[in-house]
Amino acid sequence: MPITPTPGIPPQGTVLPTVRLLAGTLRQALIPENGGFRLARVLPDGRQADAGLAAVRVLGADVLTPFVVNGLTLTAQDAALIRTAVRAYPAPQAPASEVSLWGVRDAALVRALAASGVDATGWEGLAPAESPARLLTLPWVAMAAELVRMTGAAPPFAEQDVRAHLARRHLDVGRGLVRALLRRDLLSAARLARWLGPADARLTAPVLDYLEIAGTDDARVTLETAITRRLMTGASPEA
Amino acid sequence: MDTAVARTARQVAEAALSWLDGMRGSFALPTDTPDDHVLGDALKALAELTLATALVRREAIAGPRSADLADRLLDFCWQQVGQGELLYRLQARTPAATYPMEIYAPFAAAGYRHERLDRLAAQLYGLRAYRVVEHVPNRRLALVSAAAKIGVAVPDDLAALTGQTWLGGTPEPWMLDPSNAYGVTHTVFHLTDWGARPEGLPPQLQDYLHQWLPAWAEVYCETRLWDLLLEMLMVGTCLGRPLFSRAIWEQVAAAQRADGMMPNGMTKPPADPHRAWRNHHHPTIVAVAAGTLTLSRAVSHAATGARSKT
Repeated sequence: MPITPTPGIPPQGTVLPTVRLLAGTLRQALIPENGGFRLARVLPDGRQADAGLAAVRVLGADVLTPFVVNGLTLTAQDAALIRTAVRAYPAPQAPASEVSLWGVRDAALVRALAASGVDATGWEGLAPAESPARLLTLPWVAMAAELVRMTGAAPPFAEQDVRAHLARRHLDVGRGLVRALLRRDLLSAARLARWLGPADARLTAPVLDYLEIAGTDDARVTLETAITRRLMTGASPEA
Repeated sequence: MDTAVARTARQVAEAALSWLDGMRGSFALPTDTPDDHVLGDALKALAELTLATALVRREAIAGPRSADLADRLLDFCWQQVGQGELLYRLQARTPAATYPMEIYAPFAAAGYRHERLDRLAAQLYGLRAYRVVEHVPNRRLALVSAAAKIGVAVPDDLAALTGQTWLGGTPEPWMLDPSNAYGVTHTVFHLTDWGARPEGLPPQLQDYLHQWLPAWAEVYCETRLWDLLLEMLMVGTCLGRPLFSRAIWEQVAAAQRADGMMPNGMTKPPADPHRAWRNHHHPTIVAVAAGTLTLSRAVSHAATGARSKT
């Protein structure tokens, strides 16, 4: 029996491929030689439009990476598209742990928008701003799991006080990174490597080299490693 | 002292020792078999039982019943090897072999001596051949450790041997695999004489283990490779600033069978304990050793007023 599309709900099975598509495009946009980047040009339209908006919410502040890291101009059309995505897929209002997580993610999104010249104050659908400071007091396994979940709040979008707090817990982030690699969870490893960055280059440098080869099958991993590479060395990803 | 860790480790060790005592018949070597027909697996099981029960005696921390069980099992093992005569015959017949002296070492350290094997060991350890045994590096450390227990000084460069081990290279910690993990645990056991001399482990390796052992133990707790996990718990007790993990000990205790047997985590134990013995005696022996060392270090560390937790 054919499934009737529900307005506002992406067709089943379309969000993750769209997230990967967008992540791959964002990675390409980190290459300066590729020139300008417009979210509106790369997101699908028609029946896939909802999946595109959902993908924007999934990737959070990372959709602004080309603008913040490469200094590209965020157009009014792209800003409006992000606002539409936030309204279409508002942050959850329960349970408390999800509200808290989305508070951290959306605070990072607001910071990234501000860095791109857009004031997102009062946007419908945003979670109340939350600091991740409480999560950074958890034991290392739980803290690493939370860092993975709030990837959009990682550098370059991390707050200064969060960076300062994490500076005292580099070893614990490193343990989370090692655990993720030993569990063959490359996406979590890539996200934790991004949080750790140059703070422990002896650990992260070879991990980054490895993930850039072994993680190429997942565009989300390659986006994470491209951002981390840029932050650590200033190098752009290979085309 | 982390009393919860100490209590759990003690309970696990006592139950495991009780199961091993009940299964002692399965450790018996055949009596009507020529020496060179004695199976390696049978000798290995007996050697491991010797090691664990000798540790119980050495640490002298077990309750009266467990201490008595361990003493009687150690005596049993010594009787099985003919009070050293079997090991002597195997060593004399195959002088290039290293295992008879390695099996003998914990007996010797516990005061069970065989005079002719002592003389033979002193002669063989002095040969050029013993400087070039082509074992993997952590096994070379086993030879040095065995010689020390027997009381023979060997001229091996311990620092150089240590540097050739996986642990000695302080590799990227995410490159660990089960094979290397067993190498790490045994490197630590041999360098510290199973926790008796934490200072035998160089400071930079102590630091490296403090950093990464908690992450490794967390991963191998998920895999339920209980013998490897128990060995990692033992490694924590061999450090100058010991590492204890209450959460992992609780999982070990939950996995232990009501009769004291520690499953290997990979194969389902049959109901018949004699059939179960074949695949599950090893993790049960490691449970005795790990529980004993954990209890001992927890108590002694509390006495010094220092403390470190994962």
